[in-house]
Amino acid sequence: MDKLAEYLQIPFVQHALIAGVLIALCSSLLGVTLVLKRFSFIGDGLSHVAFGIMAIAAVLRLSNDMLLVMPLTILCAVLLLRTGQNTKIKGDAAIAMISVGALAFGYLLMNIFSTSGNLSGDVCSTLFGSTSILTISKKEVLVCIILSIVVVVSFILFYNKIFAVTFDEGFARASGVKAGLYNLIIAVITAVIIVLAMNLVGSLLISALIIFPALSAMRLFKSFKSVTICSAVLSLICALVGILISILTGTPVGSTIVATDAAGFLICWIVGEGLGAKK
Amino acid sequence: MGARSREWKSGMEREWSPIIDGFEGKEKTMKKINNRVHHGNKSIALLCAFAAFSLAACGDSDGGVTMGARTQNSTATVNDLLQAGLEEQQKTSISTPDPTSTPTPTPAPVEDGGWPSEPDKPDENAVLSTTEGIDIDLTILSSTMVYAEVYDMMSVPENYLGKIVKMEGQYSYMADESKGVEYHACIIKDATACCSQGLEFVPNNPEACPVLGESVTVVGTFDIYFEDDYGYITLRNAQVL
Repeated sequence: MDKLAEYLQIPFVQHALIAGVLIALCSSLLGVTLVLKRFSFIGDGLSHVAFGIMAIAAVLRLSNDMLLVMPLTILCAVLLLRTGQNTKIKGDAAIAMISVGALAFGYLLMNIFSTSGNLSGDVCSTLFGSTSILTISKKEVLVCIILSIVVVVSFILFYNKIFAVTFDEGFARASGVKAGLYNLIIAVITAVIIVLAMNLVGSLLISALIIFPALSAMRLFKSFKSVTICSAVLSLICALVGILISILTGTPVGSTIVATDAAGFLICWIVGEGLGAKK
Repeated sequence: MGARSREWKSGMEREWSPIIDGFEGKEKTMKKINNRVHHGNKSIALLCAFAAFSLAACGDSDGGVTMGARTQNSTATVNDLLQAGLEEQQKTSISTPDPTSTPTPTPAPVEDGGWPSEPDKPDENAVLSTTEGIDIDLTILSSTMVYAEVYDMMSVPENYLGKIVKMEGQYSYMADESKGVEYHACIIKDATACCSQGLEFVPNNPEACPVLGESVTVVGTFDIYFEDDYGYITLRNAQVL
C-alpha cells in the first residue's frame, strides 16, 4: 500500500488515472446503446480507422495528429452508423471491410514511409496501448477532460432521445423524434470516445471497454437506466483497478484493464445467475 | 518537445532515432527546452539561467539529496518520496564532501552544446557511492513504471536536470570512429517488450562495463547535451555497479 501511495503522487500516474477513468466512463455510457443497437463491433472498426489515419498523420509529420484523426474518424463513424441500415453493404460487413482495410493501409503506410526508428514498437504501442496512458501529457489530459465533459453532458441532455432511438428507431421516427440527428450524435460521440480510448487500451482492445461493462451490467439489471449507471460504475472500477494492477505489477496497461473487465463480467454473470436462481 | 534518444543496437553501427519529434535545430532545441523553464526569448540569457538552474540542481553538498526540478515544481517522483524518509538519516550518515577536493575528471565523449562544464559541480562521487543519494531509482520500479518514467525523462528532460538516476537494463555500446567518441547505453524495455528506450551514460569506470547485451546497473547525474543539432540526454559521472 505504501508503494501504491507513492506511485499515486507521481504526475504521470495521476494523469493516467484521470484520463483512464474519464475514458472508461464515456465508453461505458455509450456502450449500452451500441450493444443494444447491435453495433458492438463498431469500436473495433473505428479504432482501426483511427489507426490508419494516425499512420497518415505520422507520414505527413503532423505534430498534432488529433486534428486529422478526430474529424476523419467522426466521418467514418457517421458513414458506418448511417449506412448500416439501408444499403447494399450491411452494417457488420461495412465495419469489417473498413476495419481491416484501414488497419492494413495504416501499417502499410507506416512501413513504406517510416518516420520512426522503432516501427514495431510504435505499432505495438498503438495496437495494444502498452504504456500509452502513462505517457500522455498534461495537454492531452486536458483535451481528454474537455471531451469527456462534452460526451457526458451530451448523453445526459439527449438521454431520452438516445433511449428511444436505441430501442425502436422506427417508433421513435413515427413519434416525431429526429432519429437521424440522434444517430448522428451517437456516431460523433462514439468516434470521440474511440479516439480517446486508443490512448488507454490501444486500438485492438477498445471494443472491450465498450462491450464488457454494458454486458456485465445487463447480467445484474434489466432497465436501461439501471444498466447504464451500473455499466458506468463497473467500467470506472475496472479501469482504476486495471491501471493500478498494471503499474504495481508491471503488466501492460491495456490488456490488464481488459482482463479486469473480463473478470468483472465473470463476477457479474455468477452473481446474476445466483440472483436469477433465487427468484 | 523533448530530447532525442539514439537507437541503440548491440553492434557498432550508429543510428539516430527521435523519440519525440520537434527538434530541427540546435538553437530551436535549446530554446524549446529553456522556454519550458524560464519563458524567455533570448537563448543566451536562457542558457545562462538554465545553466544556473542546472548547477543548482546538481546536489547539495551536505545532504546528498539533489534538488531536482520536480521538487521545485511541488511534484514528486517515487524516489523523491522514498528519499524523504531517508533524508534525515542521510544528513547524519553522509559526510560533507570536502570543498577543497579536486573534482574527479569526467570523461566527456562529446563536446557539449552549451551546458555548464562539469568541474563547476560539487564532487558527486560521494553521492554516487551511496544509494541514499539517488533521486530516481528505476531499479525498484515495475517495468511499466520504468518505461513511463524514462519516457517522461525524454519528454520533459528539464524536469530531471541534475537528478541522480539509478537504472538497470541491457548494456549497449557504440563507437563513432570518425569522431573518436564512444557511447554507452542502458536499454530499458516496456512491459510488452516491444518498445525499448536507450538511456546513454558516461561511465567513470568504463572497465566495469559488461559485455554487450548483459545486464548493467548504472548510477549517474541526468544531463542534456547537444550534438549534430540535436539534444540528447545522458547520465554523467556514471558509476557502473
